[in-house]
Amino acid sequence: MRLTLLLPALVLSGCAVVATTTFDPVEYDKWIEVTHSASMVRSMCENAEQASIAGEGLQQIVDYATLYSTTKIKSDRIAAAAKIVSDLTTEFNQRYDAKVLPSKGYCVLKATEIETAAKAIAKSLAQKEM
Amino acid sequence: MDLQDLIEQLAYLDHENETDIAGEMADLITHIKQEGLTKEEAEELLKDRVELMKLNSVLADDEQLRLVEAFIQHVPGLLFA
Repeated sequence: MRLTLLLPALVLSGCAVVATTTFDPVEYDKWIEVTHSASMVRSMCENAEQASIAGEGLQQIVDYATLYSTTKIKSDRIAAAAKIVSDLTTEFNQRYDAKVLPSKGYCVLKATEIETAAKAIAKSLAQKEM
Repeated sequence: MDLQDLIEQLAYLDHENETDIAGEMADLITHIKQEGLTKEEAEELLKDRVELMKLNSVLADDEQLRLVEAFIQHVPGLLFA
């Protein structure tokens, strides 16, 4: 998807904002974990029950990462990006809580969006090391 | 402004700003059609995509943003007529 081509803009602009701050391996790890978890959710989209359970697990991981990033507030842009990933994940899980389960296509596209956005945040954070 | 005008203006702004918003939208619409999403799901994913574009500063200016927002309002009606 072209989204992956667009997200480097976040990486670059995030860089500009946070270039003078210190790399935080804990924060970085949290967003890598979100990326991995979203990827796991995507791989379970064939089975709605498994996707739903994996989605709940993803929500917890995203909540921790978002809380960490927004509490630090060293970069408003990272905090805003974290909030968007959190909102995407909440919407994903709300679909599975509804009476009508979402389509497999929705599951795949939404999980891919979460994964790609989280990956962009992690890349942006990693730039602090350079 | 009808859909044809919107597409032409999107393509023009892409050319002017060296962006590929029209291509991005085309990809998403193709995925939505292929994967058999419901209208509600499609609306949500289109909205998400605009949010991510805003976040990533992909949109060059307010005019481009307004155009993309107007465009995505047309898409569900077009796909689920």
